[in-house]
Amino acid sequence: MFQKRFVALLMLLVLALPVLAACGGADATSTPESSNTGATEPTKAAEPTAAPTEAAAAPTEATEPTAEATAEATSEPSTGGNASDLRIGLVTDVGKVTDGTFNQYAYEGLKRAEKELGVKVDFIETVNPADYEKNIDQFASQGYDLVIGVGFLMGDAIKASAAKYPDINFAIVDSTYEETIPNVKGLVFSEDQAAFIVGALAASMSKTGQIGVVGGVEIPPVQKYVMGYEAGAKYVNPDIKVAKVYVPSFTDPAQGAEAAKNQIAEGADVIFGAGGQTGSGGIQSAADEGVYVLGVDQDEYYTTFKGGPAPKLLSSALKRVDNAVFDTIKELVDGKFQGGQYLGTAANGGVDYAPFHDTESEVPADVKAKLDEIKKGLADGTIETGVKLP
Amino acid sequence: MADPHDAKDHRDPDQHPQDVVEQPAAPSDPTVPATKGVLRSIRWGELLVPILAIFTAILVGAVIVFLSAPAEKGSRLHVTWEAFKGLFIGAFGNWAEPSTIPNALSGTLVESTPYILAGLAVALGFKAGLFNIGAEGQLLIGALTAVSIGVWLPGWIGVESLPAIIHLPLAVLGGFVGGGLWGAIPGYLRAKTGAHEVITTIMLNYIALRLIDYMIVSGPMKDPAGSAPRTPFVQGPAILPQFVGVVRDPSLTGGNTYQPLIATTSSTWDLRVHAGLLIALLAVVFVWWLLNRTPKGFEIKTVGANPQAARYAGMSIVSTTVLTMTLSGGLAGLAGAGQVLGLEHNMKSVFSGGLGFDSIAIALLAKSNPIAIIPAALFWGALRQGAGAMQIRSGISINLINIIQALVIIFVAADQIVRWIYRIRREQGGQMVFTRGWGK
Repeated sequence: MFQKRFVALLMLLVLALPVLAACGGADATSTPESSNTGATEPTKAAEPTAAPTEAAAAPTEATEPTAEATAEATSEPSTGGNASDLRIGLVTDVGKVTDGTFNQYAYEGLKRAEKELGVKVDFIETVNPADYEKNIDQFASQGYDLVIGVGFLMGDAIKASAAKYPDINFAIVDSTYEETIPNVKGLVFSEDQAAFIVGALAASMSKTGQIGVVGGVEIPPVQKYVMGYEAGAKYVNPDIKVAKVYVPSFTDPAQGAEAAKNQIAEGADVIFGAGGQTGSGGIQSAADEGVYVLGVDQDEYYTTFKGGPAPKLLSSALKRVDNAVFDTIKELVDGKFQGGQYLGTAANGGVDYAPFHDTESEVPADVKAKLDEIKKGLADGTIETGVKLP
Repeated sequence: MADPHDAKDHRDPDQHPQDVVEQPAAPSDPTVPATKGVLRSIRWGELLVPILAIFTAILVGAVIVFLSAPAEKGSRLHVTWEAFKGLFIGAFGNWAEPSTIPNALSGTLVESTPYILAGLAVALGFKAGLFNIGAEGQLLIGALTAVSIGVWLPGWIGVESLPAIIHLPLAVLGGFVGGGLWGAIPGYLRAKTGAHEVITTIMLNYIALRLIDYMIVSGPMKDPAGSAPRTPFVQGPAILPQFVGVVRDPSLTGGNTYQPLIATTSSTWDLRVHAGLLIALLAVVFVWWLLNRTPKGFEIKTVGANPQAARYAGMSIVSTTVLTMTLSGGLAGLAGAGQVLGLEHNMKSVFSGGLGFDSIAIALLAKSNPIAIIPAALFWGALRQGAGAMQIRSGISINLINIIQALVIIFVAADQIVRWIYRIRREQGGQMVFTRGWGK
């Protein structure tokens, strides 16, 4: 009798094993970051990009001592006292904090703030787009000091919550509002600067004098990527030909692949994918065709190419959402939080380019130096991308 | 609970066709003393299995949390405890801080409302032996028609606005009709051509999804003022009002004023629960009444249990099938209408997120009993409402909720497992038939 029941329970546990394995897997990727004490490299996806960022952004953040921040916070009554009393809530877009997209970047910024600034952080992973407002409310109703939403699509929900909770601060990644809302900060990025750098890289590596870009839906951030890419390419090689295409979807890898193939057929030998999964599909197929490719938003070495080998991925144009999130939290700690806009640029470490990974040996040293020079130029304003949206 | 004779319908139709045909006396005759005791025990048995299934699923869920707990939040036992405490607090409020209770309970009710309606839709289909996987599509179309009427109807007939007493019922009715038509198509195809409703409803789901994509992402219904793809906000008179709430600044809702039934300024009492809940409860009463107190309901159940017997008895299988699928689609459409008119006040291109599919699970959990849909939907809603707080408190993946939901369904569907673990004997006639086989 007893044995039978025991066997039944045992079988249940066996049934649950695959599930456990899945959970454990997710866990494994998140555990190292809690034990890792490195300031700028909380997880492996961000690690390789940390080096160039630090070079650019060292004076502005990351190395600033925590004690100072805390002291400032205590002297600033508007934040409600000690930094360790501050509670920050992060609501991801549909996805997970380990999914290699801006969700993960935002989470890394959050964890860095926890470590360096001593704030209390919590997060909710959105499962369903209908849950945005509900998830934000979970934090706001409990009086969190700052609630961060990730993604353009959460724009309405953040706006509504900001009106409902005027005493709580909000931030939203990738979106901003025409009229400044006093308790909301929109975190947006100079996509054109990130694209300018990889555009210069593409033009330097091209042998045919033709390069291509596969864009997603023709909305401002994508346009800025595409135009910045062209500007960067022309900066190093005024005669370069840039094939541009906008695919009206962010989730159509097949169409992205088709577009990339067409560009290669016309002679392009470096392809930049700037349109979510559509762009990723484009660079994946282009890499299979044997031409160099460039990723976007995150270091696609870890996402699209699953950590390598990626012998054709030169680099990626990065939006450092983690730095933006960290800086926003730091402003709150310092009592300087204001509604409005944070613009991530090369100067403040908000945009960057990813390491070369498997193509490290193929990119000549003078090209590397040139890229560094361009990044510095963008940062100090001596180089302008010249991208202006119509 | 439902009419005690309801249980009789669960008999295996192929073995007892005569019993089914003999049943006409039952719905109108509540006193059959000889069988009463037996029936009561069957009811209890039926109730016991889902409850034990939920209990077992939560237990297994706890083991999973224990084994996968992230190290940073304390000991494994502590995390497990916090996870379930968070789940409870999220769904029912922190009872140590009474001010959190109304908001949490309201959230649970809000989450449950569409599940009640869509669960009823699927349950009604089951009763007629139809597996309506199309609740998702019907829900989307219902939301689309409801939001269209809510936004544009006054413009179509050339007036500024309509009084709520006309506009709101029309918008709700629009949801019912839209979903109903979407359900009638597979019903008609099934009845006339024998095309299996599982196939046709799945295909119609895709069509509905793409239609919504077209209409809202790039097509004529997109609000040019919206940042993300969505329709304009419905007009003030067309909303299903919050029972208690704070009046929003019209600039947040496209210039429309949404008046709650009781206006307040306290954020504790700004509750999202809306009048759609009443529609859901009325729908439960209606379906129960239809199935247990009307000849049509009896026809539905008979066709579901044994179509041959129904045909011999002179019932029209064609009209019953079409009617059931229309009603089923209409109920799912109401679920969609409730979401857009009561909760979101506009329709986004990413709208339902599987409400229609979860409703199949709810109908299963409730064993297609219309009354039992309510606790099943509340359970589902509480899990969804509590998930966020669970993750905040424990740091474990929010997907645990999906795992628990899936385990509940496994244990309910394969109730042998539960009966075996807990040594429950199978009651006579305790089995029910969800659908007929393929291609009959």
